[in-house]
Amino acid sequence: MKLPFRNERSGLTMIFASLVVIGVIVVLLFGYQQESRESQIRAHGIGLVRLLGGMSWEQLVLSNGRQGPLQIMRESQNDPDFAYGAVVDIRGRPETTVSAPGVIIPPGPLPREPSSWLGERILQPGNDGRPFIEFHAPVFSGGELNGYVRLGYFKPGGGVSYQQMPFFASLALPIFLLTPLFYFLMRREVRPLQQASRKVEELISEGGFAKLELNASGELSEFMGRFNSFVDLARQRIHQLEQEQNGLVTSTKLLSYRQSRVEVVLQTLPEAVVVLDQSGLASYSNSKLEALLGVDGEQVIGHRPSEWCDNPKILTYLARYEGSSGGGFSTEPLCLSPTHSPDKTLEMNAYPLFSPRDESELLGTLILFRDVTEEQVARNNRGEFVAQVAHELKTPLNVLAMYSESLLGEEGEAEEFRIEATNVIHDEVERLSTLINNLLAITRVEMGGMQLNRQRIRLSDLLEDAFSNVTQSGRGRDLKFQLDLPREMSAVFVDKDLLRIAVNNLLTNAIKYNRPGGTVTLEARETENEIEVSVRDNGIGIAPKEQAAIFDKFYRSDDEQVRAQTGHGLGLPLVQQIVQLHHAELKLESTPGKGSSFVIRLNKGSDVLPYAVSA
Amino acid sequence: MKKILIADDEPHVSRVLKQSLERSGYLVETVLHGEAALEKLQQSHPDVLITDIQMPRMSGEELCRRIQQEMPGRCFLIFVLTSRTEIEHREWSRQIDNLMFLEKPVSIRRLISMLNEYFAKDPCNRENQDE
Repeated sequence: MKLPFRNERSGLTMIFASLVVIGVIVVLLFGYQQESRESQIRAHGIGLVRLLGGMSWEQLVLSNGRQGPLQIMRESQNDPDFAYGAVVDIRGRPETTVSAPGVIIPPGPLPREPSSWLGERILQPGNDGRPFIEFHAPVFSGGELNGYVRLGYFKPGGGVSYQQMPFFASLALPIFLLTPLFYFLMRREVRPLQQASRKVEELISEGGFAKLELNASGELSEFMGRFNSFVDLARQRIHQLEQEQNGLVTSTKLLSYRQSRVEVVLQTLPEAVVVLDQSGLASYSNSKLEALLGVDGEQVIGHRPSEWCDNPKILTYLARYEGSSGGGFSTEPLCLSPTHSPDKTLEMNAYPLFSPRDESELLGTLILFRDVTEEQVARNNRGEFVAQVAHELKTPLNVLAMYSESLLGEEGEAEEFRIEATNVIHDEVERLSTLINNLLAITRVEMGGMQLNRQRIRLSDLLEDAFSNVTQSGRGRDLKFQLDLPREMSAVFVDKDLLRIAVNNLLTNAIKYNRPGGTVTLEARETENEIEVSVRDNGIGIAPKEQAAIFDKFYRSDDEQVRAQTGHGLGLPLVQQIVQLHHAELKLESTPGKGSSFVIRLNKGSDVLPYAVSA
Repeated sequence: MKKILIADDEPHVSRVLKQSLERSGYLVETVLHGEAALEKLQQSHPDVLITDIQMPRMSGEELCRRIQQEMPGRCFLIFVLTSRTEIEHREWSRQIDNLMFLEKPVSIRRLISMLNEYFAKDPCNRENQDE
């Protein structure tokens, strides 16, 4: 059975131990008492047997039934240990006997040697009872050995006598009384310790660090005081640790926040970022690496560039910095096309990363990849634009140079050539002038610095003026000109100079790309929401595949009929940009061989004043 | 008579050059683009080709490449009229034999004197062949 408390067990152990002690004491006392009783019996027996042996045979053995010394001794002594007494002859036959009730005198051969006549011996009773201590002495009669006197006593041992009980009881009682007393006293002392132990156990299980509060005195009170001092010290230490931990947590959060902020910034950058550590292994990369180089950013971590990059230009560029202490880093970027997407152009830069604490300590290399495809295209376009401008400027200049040179030479003497040359020179000067105007306008529009100088104007005035100018320049051609304007039109709020350029360019094209006998029509119509200005011709028309391309700068059709006319491919792009600046719409309808129609749709909501003026 | 082929999409240029060169004693043919020039070269075997760079259908650059590729061992000189500088055409032009650049605006007088000088050297030994 499991006992609830250790001290209960120790209490029982103590009781058991005290019983054992009592038992041992009793056994020892009993042994001692036996020994002293045996000594008493021996002294008494020897004395008595000597006394009886000193008597004569006749004195001991009385005739005629009288009581002899043995009977008298038996009756007077009333010794509980006395077993028997007998006077026997030389052969051992009893002459007279006395005995305790139930005792049979054991037969026993008597010593023959005179030295052994007087003595004692231990005899076993016939019925396996207690052994006897027998004392024997010779009896003489007339100087002759006549027989022996034998006195037998029970050998002490084998039970406590009734008389001995009070002694043992008085010995056991205080022990019995003292043991539980001692036990209860001990429990009283142990209980606070037990409570303290339980309290500490509770404190441990609760995980707190509270003080011990007990009714205690003495050493336990002293222990509790020291324990509580320790608790105070521990609390202070814990508080200090908590503060340090809070500081650490705050620092960690701040660091984590900063790290995530830096991470977000690095991920948001349009550039692909790779950081190589001192040993040349990639330790960081952002997600843009996949888009720019076709390499998974996660896969490069812990690997050398040669393991994740197959572009020899990049590897050669980086190889220069391997083992560098920071010097020799080039400020010249490397331009390359990634293997997975050769159409792209990337710019790569490598920068040394120095320790913020020690600028001589190189921590690694920062590699940036930037997609410069658009910039490259823009650069190429810019270069192409300049080249085109040069071409368009030099072509009329070339013609002018050749004709003027020819005019000065022998050819100039011919009247026919002079007229031709003068016309050509005039046309080319016109062409140059238009080209330069268009270039200026288109540059202004494209640079984004163009502020529309909107004015409220009569659209019909602008259209009539433009129509008049263009028809004059086209007078020599076999063409019909039609102007169809409504009698009344709303005033419009437009940049009249730009709109005039747009209408002029459309009308010029309608004349240039017309056919002999063709018609050029300028028409305006007003609806509820918009005003439409259309320029129509029934000339050579524009092939469907070219209808988008004609709005690209410097585009010129390969059609020989188109090529037969001078042009620089800036007129229509400029018209489109002017229309877009006015938030208007330019619509083209054209059929090759039948003619073209360009319609500018001006939205009245934004471009037209809400009242009508008479035409 | 030395034959000259002019490839230019600018009709005024072709016209005034043709007049001036014919007056100087050359036989001149004109075409409007590279494709026509390549065709004409096969037919009339001119002694000099004068070509513009920017032309429809086939540019002057493409024409020169095709000549280099399709007419190995050709002897005639190519004059290329360009709005740009010679340096800008260096990359492709170094692969073409017997080629000279003339930057616009071109002086007809200078062109004729260059042609005369060129033919005086009789680079292709055409006179002997003709005889």
